[in-house]
Amino acid sequence: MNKEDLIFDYFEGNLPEQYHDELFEQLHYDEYLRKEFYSQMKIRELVREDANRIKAPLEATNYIFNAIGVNPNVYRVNKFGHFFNNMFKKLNYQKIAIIGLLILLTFSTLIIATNYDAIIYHSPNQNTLKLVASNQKPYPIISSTTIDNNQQIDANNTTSFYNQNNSSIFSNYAQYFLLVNQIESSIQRSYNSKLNKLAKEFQSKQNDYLATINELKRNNDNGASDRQNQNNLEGLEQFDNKNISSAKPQIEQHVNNNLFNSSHNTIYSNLIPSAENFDISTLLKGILPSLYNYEFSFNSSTSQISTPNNATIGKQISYSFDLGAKKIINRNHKVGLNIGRDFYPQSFSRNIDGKSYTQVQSPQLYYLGLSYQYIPSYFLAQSYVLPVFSAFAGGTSVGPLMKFQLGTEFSFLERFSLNFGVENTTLFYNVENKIYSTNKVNFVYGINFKL
Amino acid sequence: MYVKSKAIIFQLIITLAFLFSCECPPNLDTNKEIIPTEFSNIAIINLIPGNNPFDVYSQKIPIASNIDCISITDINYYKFPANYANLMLKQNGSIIFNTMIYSLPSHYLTIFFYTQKQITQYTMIEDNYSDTLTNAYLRLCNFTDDLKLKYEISSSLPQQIVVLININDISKIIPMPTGKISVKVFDLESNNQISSISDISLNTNNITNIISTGNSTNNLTQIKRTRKLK
Repeated sequence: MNKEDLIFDYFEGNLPEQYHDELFEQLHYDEYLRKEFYSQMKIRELVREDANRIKAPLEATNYIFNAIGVNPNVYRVNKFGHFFNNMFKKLNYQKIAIIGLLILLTFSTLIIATNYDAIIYHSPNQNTLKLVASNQKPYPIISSTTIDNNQQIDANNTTSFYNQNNSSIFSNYAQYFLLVNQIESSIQRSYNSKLNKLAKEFQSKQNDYLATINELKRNNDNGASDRQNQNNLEGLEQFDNKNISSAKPQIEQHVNNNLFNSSHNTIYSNLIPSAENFDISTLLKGILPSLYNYEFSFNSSTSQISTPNNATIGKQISYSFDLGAKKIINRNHKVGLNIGRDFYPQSFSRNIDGKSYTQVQSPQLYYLGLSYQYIPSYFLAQSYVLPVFSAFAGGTSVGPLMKFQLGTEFSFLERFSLNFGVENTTLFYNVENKIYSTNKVNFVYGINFKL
Repeated sequence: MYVKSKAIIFQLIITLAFLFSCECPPNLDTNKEIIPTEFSNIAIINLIPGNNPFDVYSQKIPIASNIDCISITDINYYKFPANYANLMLKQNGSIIFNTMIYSLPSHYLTIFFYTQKQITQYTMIEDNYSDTLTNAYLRLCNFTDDLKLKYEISSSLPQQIVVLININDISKIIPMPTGKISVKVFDLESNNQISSISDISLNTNNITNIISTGNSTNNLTQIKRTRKLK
């Protein structure tokens, strides 16, 4: 057998075992054969590596799988599987924060999904409003029928909403939101009707007075001789027609300022725990003013920063804080001022004495700037957990700073809420006329207070 | 209109923040690491008795600070500018040593500072870590005043290793299996044992330096270990 054929058969696995010893003996003595053996081995290794890298065309793969009667999708690579594998292989702090936020959002959604009945439906003994979902109409209809407080509620005689599908949480929340709007407009209509009624009463009385005055004037002009009548006329002329006609009806806002004598809604009654008002929420309602326009926040975050050391790369946990004061424009928008302190890892090039260096540092910088917060609360009008998007633009002593935060706001107590989110921070700075930026992602948590 | 004016104010604030940012990041008062773009790695072993910790600089750039390698066995490598670069040691702000060093990028060097007959000396040697990952390395250094030394090394190997080292001489790096060894040091001329160290751990990718200093009456053999960076 040819020597090259021996090697070829050996690699193909076709060489009988009795020839193995012969091959190895010849390899021991024959340098040319050794080179041939080595080169064939290298070629096979390269072919094997290339084969791993080359992927068959999709059409060919489908054709082959179909020909053998197997579903090709069963063997397709699961990209999401790879994504999650990589994510958990390279698990670090930021990813833990993102996973934590996702869990929180899921948990929040579950709370809403399980408690929305309690938010929307009220006991008939306490309130007369009730949402009734029915399949009677194929489209949403709102009927507004005035009802008494203790009236029996049923689907035909109440403020009702009809919707074809009552299983969706969002449709129910949309219904609830419409109901809130309807209540607000009803209150407004009610006030308007009262105002109109008062205006009409005033108008009628004004007309009466004017009529009397005119009558008296006419009497005066006719030269009535009766002294008594003249005196009466002088007294009545003290009415100023202009003042009467220009006076506008005003309704004084009724504010219960008597905090100490009233049996309800007073400091006295709220500070002394009773069966009805022992919770902090009720207590705060009594102390704090009823309207609020501002929100004050304190947020903190932790992140890992590298400890500058020439010999080793150390890591340490850093803490940062942020204080904010925001004006509440409406229930969706807030604008405010923020001040805080944070660590910003920096890495930039320097040229010192003709040699190139990379400087690495994590300075602690103070920042100041304006922030904007958006809360999409259209479908979650009365929810305790709301998604929050925040943006910040400001400056540090080394350059401008931008922040974006995506998180949730959890209202756990009257005026107080907890804030959890993932924040992306970008700091720009200039070194030797070259702009560098630091980008980092943190898990942020804090507390908000409305005043 | 209201929103537009707000947006303009916002942009103005950002621009002003950028323009008036007065602090230059290189000058910030914070811990900083200045790494040469092309660097070698140097380890400094200080054998001068009673010496205080010192700082290492190269061309005004701090390389390492507060090095106290007298009482420490494990010595770190520091990134040092490759090619010709200045090496300066400072103690309490004053320069105690200043020289030029030539090193190739990614190479490892060890610098020994020691006293010989009450004169401060230094020696620089390259650490050739071979690519094998299973070996530990041993190096013997004789910085005594006037002693020719014989080192007897007992290890897991079946036979002892005997190495003769002249004054001011450093052995080649000896590849050794990882594990424990013991070393006996003899004055070659009188064949008297002057010191011995047992239970010396040899670890993978470490160079264990066994260094003798002093004279026949007052001598010291100590261990200083350097570890290749990952």
